[in-house]
Amino acid sequence: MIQLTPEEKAVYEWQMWIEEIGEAGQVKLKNSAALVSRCGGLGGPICYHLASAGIGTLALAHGGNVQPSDLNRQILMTHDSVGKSRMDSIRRRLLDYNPRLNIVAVPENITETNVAALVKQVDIVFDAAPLFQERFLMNGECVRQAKPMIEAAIFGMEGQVTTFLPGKTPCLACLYPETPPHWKRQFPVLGAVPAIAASVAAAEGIKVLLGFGETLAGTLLYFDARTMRFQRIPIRRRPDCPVCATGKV
Amino acid sequence: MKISVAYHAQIRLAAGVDQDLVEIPDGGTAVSALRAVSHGAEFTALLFDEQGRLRPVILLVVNDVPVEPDQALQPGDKVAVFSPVAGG
Repeated sequence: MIQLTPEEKAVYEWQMWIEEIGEAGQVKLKNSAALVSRCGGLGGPICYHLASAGIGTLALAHGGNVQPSDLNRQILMTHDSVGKSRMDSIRRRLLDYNPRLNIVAVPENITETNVAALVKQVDIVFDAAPLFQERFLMNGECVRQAKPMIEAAIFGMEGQVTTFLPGKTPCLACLYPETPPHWKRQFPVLGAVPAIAASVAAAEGIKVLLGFGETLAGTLLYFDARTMRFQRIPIRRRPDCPVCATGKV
Repeated sequence: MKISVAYHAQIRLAAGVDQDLVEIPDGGTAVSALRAVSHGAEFTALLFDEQGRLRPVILLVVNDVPVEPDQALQPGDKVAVFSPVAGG
C-alpha cells in the first residue's frame, strides 16, 4: 500500500476525523481505482467528489467535444472548452482539484471493445451514462468480473441511486429486463439535481470501497427535488435474470 | 375502491399531472389501476406494449413496496409508477 504524504495528511485531515475513515481508510482510498462513465452532469460531480476525497486513480470514459448545452450541469466542462475535447477539459479540471490524481483518460464512450479492460483495472464502477446500451455493458462486465457498480440516474427534477453488488443484489438487468424503448438521449435537467444524485453516488462508492456504513445495496433511493421527498424502494433479483441469475456470477 | 396513482419522470411528463385518484372494482390489481386512467397515446405507449401488456421495464410500487402487475389492491392503496431513467 502506498502511504500518505505529509501534504495528503494535511489535505485530508478533517476527512480522517471521520471515525470510519481515519488514516487507514484514507490510505485505502489512495490505493483504490474507480471507473466513471460518462463524466457529464452525473459523472462530473461524482469525479469531483472522488478526486477531492483522495481516490488514487480514476479511469474516465467520455467521448466527443464540449457542447454549449453541457454547461448547465457538467461541472468538468468549461466555457473555453466549447468545441474542444471533453476529456481534455475533464482531465484539466480534475487535476486542478487534485494534482496527485492518477487519471486514465479514455476519450470515448463505453463500448463492447473497451468495457472489459476498463472494468478490469478498477475496484468499483460508477454508471453515469445517458444511454442504456452503455449502462448494460458496464453492468454485464461488472457482474462478470464481480465488481460493485454504483448506479445513478436522473430526469428533470427527479433522481435515483442504487448500489449493485454482484451475487448479492439485483443488477441493472433485473431492474430493466429490456432496453427501455422510449428513453431519449436528450432530457430535461437542472444541474443541481444530478449533483444531488452524484453526491449520494460518490458517498456510496466510498462506503463500498472502505467497507463501512449501510449502503443502498438492494434499495433504490428515489428523490423528487420539487418536493425534496426521498423514498427508499426495496428491489429484488430476478431469478431468471439473463445477466446475474444464480450460476452466472 | 379509490386508489391513488402517482407518476414519475417521463410518465409524469406524458401524463401532465403528478397523480390521479381512480375508482376501480374491489379486488382490482395494480395494473388495472393504471388501465383506469387515460392521458393520451404517448402515456399509454410508455406503459404498455403493442399487445397491451405492461412493459417489463416499468416499476410498480404499492405503498413503497415493488409489486407484480397482478398484485391485488386494498382501498386507499397508493400506487407509484416509475419509468427507466439514465444518466446525464
